[in-house]
Amino acid sequence: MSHESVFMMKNISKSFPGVKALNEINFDLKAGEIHALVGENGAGKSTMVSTMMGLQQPDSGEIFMDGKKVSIDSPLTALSLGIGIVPQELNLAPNLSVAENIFLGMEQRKPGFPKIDWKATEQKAREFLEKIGVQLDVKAEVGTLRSAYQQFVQIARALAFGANILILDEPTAALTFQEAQKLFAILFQLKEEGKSIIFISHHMEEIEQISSRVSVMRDGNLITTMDMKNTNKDEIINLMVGREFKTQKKNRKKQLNKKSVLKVNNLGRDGEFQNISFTLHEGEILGIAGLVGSGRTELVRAIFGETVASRGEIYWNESRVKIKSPKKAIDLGMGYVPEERKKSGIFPITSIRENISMPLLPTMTKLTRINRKNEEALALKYIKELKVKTSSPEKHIRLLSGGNQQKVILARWLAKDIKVLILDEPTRGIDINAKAEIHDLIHRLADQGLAVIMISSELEEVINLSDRIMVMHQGKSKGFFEAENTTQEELLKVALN
Amino acid sequence: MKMEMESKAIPTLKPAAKLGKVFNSTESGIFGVLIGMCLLLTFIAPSFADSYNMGVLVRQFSFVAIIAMGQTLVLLTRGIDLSVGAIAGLSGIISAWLMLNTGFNPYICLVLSLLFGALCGSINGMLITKLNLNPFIVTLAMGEIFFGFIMVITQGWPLSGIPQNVLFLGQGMVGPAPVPGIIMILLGIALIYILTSTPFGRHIYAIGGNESAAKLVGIRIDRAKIMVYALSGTFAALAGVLMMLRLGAGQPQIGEGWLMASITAAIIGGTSLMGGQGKIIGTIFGAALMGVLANAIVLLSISAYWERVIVGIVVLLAITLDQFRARVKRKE
Repeated sequence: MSHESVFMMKNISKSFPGVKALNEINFDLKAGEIHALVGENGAGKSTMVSTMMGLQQPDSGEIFMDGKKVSIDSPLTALSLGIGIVPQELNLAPNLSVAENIFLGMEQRKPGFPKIDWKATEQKAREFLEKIGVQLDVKAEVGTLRSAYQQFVQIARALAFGANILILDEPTAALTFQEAQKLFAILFQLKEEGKSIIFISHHMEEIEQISSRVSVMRDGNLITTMDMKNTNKDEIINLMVGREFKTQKKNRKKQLNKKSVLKVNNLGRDGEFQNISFTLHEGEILGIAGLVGSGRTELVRAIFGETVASRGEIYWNESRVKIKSPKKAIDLGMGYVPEERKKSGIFPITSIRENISMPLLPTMTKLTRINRKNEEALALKYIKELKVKTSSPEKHIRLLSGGNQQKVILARWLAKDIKVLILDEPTRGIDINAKAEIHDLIHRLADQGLAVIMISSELEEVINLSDRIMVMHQGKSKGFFEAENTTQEELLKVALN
Repeated sequence: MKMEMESKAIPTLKPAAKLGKVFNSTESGIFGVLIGMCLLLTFIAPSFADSYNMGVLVRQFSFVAIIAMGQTLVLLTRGIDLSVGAIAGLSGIISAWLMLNTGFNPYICLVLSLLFGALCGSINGMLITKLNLNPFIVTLAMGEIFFGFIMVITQGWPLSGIPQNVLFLGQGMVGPAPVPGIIMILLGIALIYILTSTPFGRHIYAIGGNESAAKLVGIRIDRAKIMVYALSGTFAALAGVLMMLRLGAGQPQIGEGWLMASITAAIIGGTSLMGGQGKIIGTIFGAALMGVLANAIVLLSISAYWERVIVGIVVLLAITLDQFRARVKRKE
């Protein structure tokens, strides 16, 4: 195994409005190594990968490949430099065949002919798959394959494009144990051939099993890079979480003797989550922790009626309810701040005023006419109360920063008299100040009797904000923890199983 | 844009700044172009400004404007209605058939035809929402079916002998204003009210702006969409019936060419095919602009065969200019 570095980042920094996503990152990748990259969500892994892929340009710093300085200004450049990626969401064309996908954008032709040379395409596709030891019908439609095989196709594609560096982003999330082992065998083989692999994963066992070195990221910093043989799972988790616990935990009154608002009994939905039971009380904040894909979001979507649970019961104020649509949930007294603000939270080309009043229109309409004065007063009130930074309530919401958009979405529900508020990653991608304001707000609301369900991938946030925490893993509840008596390490261990 | 910035420093420039703002919106831009064209035409062909010609012009574009308003509602929800021309034609024929073959009061026949249009639109809406089918395909197919029925009913022959007392709705004037024009204006006012001041109007914009968010704030999306397609069908039926009365006979050609015209008018007027953006007033201006173009071709004795070429070029110009305007605005 040679030890020169094939890829090196020097003092790479990248900021987004209000967030320092990468802070002076120094990173090197050697030929023939599997290098694990770990960190909590939002630690900066994705941004780092984006700069490697040419999807984002660093604000400062340099990148070297084989000792030469390079600038990766587009995904095409990355490809031509031999950097290939197997993204978390595979980007294959499901309706095309395996062979077509492998050579998409690099179609095989006979010289001088415009027609694709199918024989050569299929022949070469077979060769690349054989190289990584995968038996697969190259004529099969990719959409019909299991996700493990789709991943193998993606790897073959990267190799066909001449990749020397392969980035795998959470490759095992959708794989069974056997499939994951098969993937690792392929990775080992590529490593023996001198290729370099960056392996992003939340699963510590896997990282211990396959990687040669591991780099830990936290809050936009690359904390350290260690040889795997000199460290262990527990040390890595400690580094991911960070030793300095910020003790900004508020003293909250015990709320559990209060009355139950929402009770969920053995709730399940095929392929998403099973046997979830909990009781939510007035003024209580229930945190839900777990990895992306653990069924957290699916669970709250079913509670809010965006999807319908296939098993189990939901009780509202002790009486059984069937929630078949978000409208029904809202009529009962629930509010929901979804995970993806852009995709399902905001109405982008609509004013802040209208974004706030959207679920309130029935209550401020006389006969057919919306009372514009009430509406404006309401918007101004919440802009002031939640400190939304804007020059006017008539501004389109898309022009606000993420934190301010989130405040507007919260205002939507605060203006309505709700009893249960469901928050899914309420502070993701939001700068520190707005985040602290939102945390304060959630506590204030709970003190006034609002019951809150909060999902977050940030364990620190879950512990600081919640009274009780449910940890989910692969669609199942792995138990409840009192926020006072638990630690990030404990939760992470349960979440990672 | 520069004017606006200066206005903040120097209050006296305010009127200019206001003017700048007015030209910031698509519909006012179109209005400017429209006025410019009218002035130019008055200059080149003085007969353009005759009250007679104006009456002809307004009557001419009222039909398209009425249909295009319905189309605008559909486009705002990020849908499309390709069956409007066929619904217009079929409703016109049905109203004529009812007047000729039943003993009903002709006004009742008119109302029944409008209800028929609403029913056609509701079927579109149900197929799109309840069966989750693509609006483009549903309305395309339904349009074919409706056009087919026109032929089945008429066998290609006009239905003539419409009672004289209802013809004024298509042919008459109130003072200098043609009746279809007045109907168009009244409908326009009603729709502007609905879109700007009622929850239903807000829901239409919300669905087109972000359907998934609209669902999560409790908007009943299916219901709103079915309503919108029903309205589009009703408006199409109204235009078809008015045209039938204008012609004084159930001509099987009624509605031909109205589909593209309705989409064109909406787009010229600033309605986005991506949903959530657009105004009724823009659509009316868009229809008026196309009407003026057609009128100019007649007045300037240009071969009528050129009309479609010119309209096509105008659409391209309009959307290019609008893109440009939006980009300048964004840079600010």
